[in-house]
Amino acid sequence: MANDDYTAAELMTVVIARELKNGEWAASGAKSQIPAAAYKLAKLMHAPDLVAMIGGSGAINTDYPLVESSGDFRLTKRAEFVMTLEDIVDWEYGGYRRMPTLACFGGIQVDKHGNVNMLGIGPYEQMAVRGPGTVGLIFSTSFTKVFIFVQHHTPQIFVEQVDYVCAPGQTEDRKKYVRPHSLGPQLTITPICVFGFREDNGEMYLKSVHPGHTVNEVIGCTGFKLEVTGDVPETVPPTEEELTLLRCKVDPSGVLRRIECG
Amino acid sequence: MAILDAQVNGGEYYGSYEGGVISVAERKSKVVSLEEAAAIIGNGMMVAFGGIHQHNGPIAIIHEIIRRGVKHLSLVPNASAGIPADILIGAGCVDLVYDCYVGMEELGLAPNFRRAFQEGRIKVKELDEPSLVCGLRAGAADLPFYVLPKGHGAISISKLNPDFKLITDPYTGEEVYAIPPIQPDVGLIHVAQCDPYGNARILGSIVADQLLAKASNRVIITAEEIIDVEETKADPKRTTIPGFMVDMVVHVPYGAHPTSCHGVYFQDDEHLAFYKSTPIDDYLNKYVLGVTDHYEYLEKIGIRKLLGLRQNPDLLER
Repeated sequence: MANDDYTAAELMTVVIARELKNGEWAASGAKSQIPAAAYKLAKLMHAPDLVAMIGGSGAINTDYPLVESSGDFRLTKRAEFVMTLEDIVDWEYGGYRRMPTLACFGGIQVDKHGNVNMLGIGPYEQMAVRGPGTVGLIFSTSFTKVFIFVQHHTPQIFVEQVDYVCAPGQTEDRKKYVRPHSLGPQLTITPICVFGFREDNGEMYLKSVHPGHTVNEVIGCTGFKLEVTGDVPETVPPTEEELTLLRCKVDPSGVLRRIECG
Repeated sequence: MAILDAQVNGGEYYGSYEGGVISVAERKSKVVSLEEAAAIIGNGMMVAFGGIHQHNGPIAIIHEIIRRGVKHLSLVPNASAGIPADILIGAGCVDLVYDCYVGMEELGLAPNFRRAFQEGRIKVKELDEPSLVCGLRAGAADLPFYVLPKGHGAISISKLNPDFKLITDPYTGEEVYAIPPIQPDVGLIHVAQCDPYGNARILGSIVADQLLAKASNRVIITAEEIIDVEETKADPKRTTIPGFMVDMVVHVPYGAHPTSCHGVYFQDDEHLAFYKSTPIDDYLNKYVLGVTDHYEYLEKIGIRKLLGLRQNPDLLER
């Protein structure tokens, strides 16, 4: 039974959760309540042995419900282990040898190849926007796979070419510098659609449009040229079961319903 | 020499022998005042601090550094730093930032870091999590350099930061990146509990604070509570940072406000939002330069607010 009473953040959470497989190791970072919730939801539904690591706190498989800050102390109180940053660096580089590893992250710019930029916008000596920095995005070169998510779908975020690369997308540089086990971005999840990546040229294509949104709206909100041929399917909305688990177990305090997303 | 008698009295050991009574040597407490601790930080030093995001920031000593007018620091923030880095930059104490992430998580960009960089008032050494962590590892073990996989060739910081140097892996012939050690002059770490000899307990996420203690040339611990060394010895597994790595211990209740202290109190979201929206000079004049010490700062924040932040991990809402 479909339910249209959900927020964009809740839909994005459900879309990510469905992509996760049992036995994978999944990391989330700062300002990443959506993937953190998705990992919890997947563990409750079809991936009970997924390992979820909330960066900031370093908490592994915390039972604490969703909170605002990734470094919240309470995440460490109902966890199985609390990783240090050293543990995280080691495992995010090398853990793929033991199990598929992944993360979901976004940035201040994402381009058609899925390069992600958190560093800044404009020439280095005269930046218009100095971003936070590269943080842990290099692990896009060691994780088995990554998912890109953004909370706002605008032409300023989705650009033809990022000004700085913090995580390489499906590019020639990836082929040149990145070990082959690391597959790079698989999907980009936004508040209005899902992009996939074409096998032939590594560019994003429109995989599905969320209910209530249109192909033309996506094209208008995307700063890179998006070629759309044929019918684009609608994203499957959250099921009653998914929404119930999300609201009763994963996120009872309504973090997802409060965050700015759209 | 025959020992005739021995007695433990008040924690001190006395052995009585044929020649008379001796007392054993006494350990030196590392506890100093906030002012004494901050005084070791001079112009041009490399200063690092621990914590993560809006948690376990050593704010009280950072305010003291600002009040002392320290300049030209090279700042090594924690891997995801917000207000502790931003306020030092906004106060004009910093020339160079070893940047992995300086931002305010849910509140967005760090306003003074952003402005100072865009206006050319600070330089940035572009790092990320592995180059920061492995740089500190090299620093801790006094290694000449550390090696990272060639994946960094695919991202911008390997071109923006000349410290990333391509070398050949002697075993495989592959190209890899060398990065130099990071050895801060002083590391500042805020913890929940610490004994007088520097044995410190973080009651939540350690993040890179243990590593920072190893890599720094000197370490200052600021602690919410000073515990007896007997409490440390009753449960040594809870010691996060061993005292021998620590030079100074400062007792600073609410020393991390407005960031949280894990296990003790929450971050003050309201105050962090106020910081973000207030011109830095106004903020500094009211809360840092306009007060004589940490306790006057706490008085400005107010008892009602401070006690309201105490942590109860069983409560979801606060």
